[in-house]
Amino acid sequence: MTAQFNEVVHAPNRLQICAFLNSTDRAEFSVIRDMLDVADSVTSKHLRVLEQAGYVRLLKPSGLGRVRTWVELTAAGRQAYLGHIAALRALIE
Amino acid sequence: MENKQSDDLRVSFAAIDAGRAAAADRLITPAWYHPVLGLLGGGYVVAITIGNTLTMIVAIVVFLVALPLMISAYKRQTGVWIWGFGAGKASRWTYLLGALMLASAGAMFYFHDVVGIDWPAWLLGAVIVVLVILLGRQFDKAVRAQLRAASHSPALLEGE
Repeated sequence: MTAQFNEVVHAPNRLQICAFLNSTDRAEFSVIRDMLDVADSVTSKHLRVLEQAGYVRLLKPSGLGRVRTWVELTAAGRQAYLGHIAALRALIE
Repeated sequence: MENKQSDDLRVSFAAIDAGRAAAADRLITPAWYHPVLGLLGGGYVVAITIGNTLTMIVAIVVFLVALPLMISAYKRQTGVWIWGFGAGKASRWTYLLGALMLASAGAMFYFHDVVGIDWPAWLLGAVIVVLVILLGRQFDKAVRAQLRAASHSPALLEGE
């Protein structure tokens, strides 16, 4: 893994989102919002930044009941997150 | 300057730990999931091993319909999903379960086709149910343990 400091990932809320999504395959929007303990709009803003960078994918699977938004880390997002952690680790070593 | 950087690092690693701990907290499998998955898997293996053609077709249809429904119900209930074969070291439990299920199916075929008796298939079907429940719980425990490991752990950089 190449150590690469990443400004998009570095913001604490986005770093927390990436850590969460890297540990699961997919998570629902409300779970991420509850984890961050922030409003829907703040969660959306952070997810939009990550989505625009190509780091997360937002999915709205159709089916029974209300449509829920699911979020998953893309391959580029995983690489950016792990590279960022490697860069952070390099700073403490 | 150095203090600012170390504060920044502390905040970053705290965010990473919080994200991983939150994932561990969410990954609590509903109580019904493993018993139902075990019954589905055990029933499927028994049916395709000793059943007639109609039983096999019914078993395949039930399995293919029920499995996605179960996964969907799990996701709705927990709000997260993790694939058993892609969870780092914890996946060893999933691979072990897969290997034991294959071995059980092989033994069922042997008793049915070579020895000519079917009762071992029912016994092994019950064993599969128990294995799914026990190894499924071990998998959950292993995933949560690795997520709670410190964020500066080298394992983190291997994508666990």
